[in-house]
Amino acid sequence: MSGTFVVHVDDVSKTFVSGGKKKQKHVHALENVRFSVSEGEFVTLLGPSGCGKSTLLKIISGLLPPSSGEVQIGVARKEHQPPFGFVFQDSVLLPWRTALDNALFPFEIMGNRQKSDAHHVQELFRLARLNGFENSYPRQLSGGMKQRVAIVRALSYNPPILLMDEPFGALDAITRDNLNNLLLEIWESTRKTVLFVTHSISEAVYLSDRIIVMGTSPGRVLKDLRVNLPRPRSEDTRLAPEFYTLVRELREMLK
Amino acid sequence: MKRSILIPLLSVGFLFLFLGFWQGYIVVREVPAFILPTPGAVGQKFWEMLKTGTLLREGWVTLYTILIGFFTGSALGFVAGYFSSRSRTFEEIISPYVMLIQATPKVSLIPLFVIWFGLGMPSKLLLIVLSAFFPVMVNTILGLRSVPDDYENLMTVLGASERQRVWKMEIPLATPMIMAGLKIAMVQSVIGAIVSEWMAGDRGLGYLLVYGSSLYDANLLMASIFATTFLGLGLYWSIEFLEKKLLFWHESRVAFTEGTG
Repeated sequence: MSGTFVVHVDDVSKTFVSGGKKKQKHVHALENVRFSVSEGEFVTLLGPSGCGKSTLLKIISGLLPPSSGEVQIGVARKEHQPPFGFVFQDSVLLPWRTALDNALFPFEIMGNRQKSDAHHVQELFRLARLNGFENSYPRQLSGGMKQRVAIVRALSYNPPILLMDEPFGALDAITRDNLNNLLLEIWESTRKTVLFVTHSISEAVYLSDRIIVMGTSPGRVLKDLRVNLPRPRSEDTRLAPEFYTLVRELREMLK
Repeated sequence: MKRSILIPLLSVGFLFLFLGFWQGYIVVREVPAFILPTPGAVGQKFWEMLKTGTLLREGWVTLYTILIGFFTGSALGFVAGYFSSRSRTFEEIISPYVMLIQATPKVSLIPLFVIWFGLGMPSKLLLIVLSAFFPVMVNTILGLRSVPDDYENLMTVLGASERQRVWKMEIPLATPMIMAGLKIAMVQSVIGAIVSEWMAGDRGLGYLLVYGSSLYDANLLMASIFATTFLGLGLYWSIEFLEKKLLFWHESRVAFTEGTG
């Protein structure tokens, strides 16, 4: 492997074994997956449910071990600090903490909060348009706002990589579009490397520099597609003919 | 009239209606006082027992027995629940026995306890500890088990220690279930205390009940019943109060305010 990569997935396979000793069932969730992600890239893993895209994200983050192959992370590691921020489908906020305390939660776990961190988190609140809601409890926030707090929490300790597992999957279409725009704004001003999982074709095209298209049984990479739509993207992007061409192409591929 | 005034007013009205029926029934049917005393006589007896200190003295005995038994039983139940939730194998091994003991009415054990420990405190305490133990244990297991996977994943990504995982995430998330267990435990503890005093006690409100019954003193009996009601109510409210303080964040407690997407 040459060149600079931030994440390098090298021939990763994952097999889940279920059932008893006599009647073992092997499910090939991922087979020989390989790709790399460069610094600052926005890469989306796109595929139908069951293609192993969430499993892949979990393997990359170290939540799951691969059955074979390996994942290399090409960033300088800080002590006691993961190189990733992870945003889950559900916001997984601690309901007894305010939005601000939730965003500061990683420092409490890692025990290395610096003076500048609080300032950084304040800045993220502003970026996520959550200023004024620092002292609200999750119950008082809408689904979209909770997910924004989750993004702020994932970025609070300034990790170089942001992993997002269908973060807007549970939101309504309008909120989802708004959050896509907001995510792009945050990405453009923080310059993180983003690995984003979704099953929405238009969301993938709208957000990404590259789309890794995945297929099912076994979960594998069908295509590594570059999205050459100009940035910054806006509502006009969604109306451009190139946008439609890409969406149609992907739809054909995933049929 | 406003609902907020009307409802309490009607509630109190209902009480007076009930007392009226009670009094009326005695007058019309000429019920003898040793079977059913008038509300006034019961009230008077209650006041008198309060003044002489009988109710406070016996009530205090029952109260501290309940408190010691409840705290011991719940604490043990919590610890047992916590360790059972750590190991699925262990839980599966003990679960038939837990079910067996849960299905046994604890009250039926009192005669046995009397043989083993005699009348008085030890028998009472053991019954209350048992009554409080199981609801708390079962709910602790349930609460800890139902922590969603992604909360665990978040803690793993952040590199949390086992201790942080348990104290900062799992136990707080399980608190609503544990509180529900504590409420059941409290109700069971009160029942356990009264019944065991009744069968095996030499002190306490439960003992007053048997005493009143053996004397055919319906006034004493009914005043004591009301005293146990107030005791149970007070204890239940204390738990509810604690729950409100601890679970201020829970969905059942906080009104939802609409935010923007």
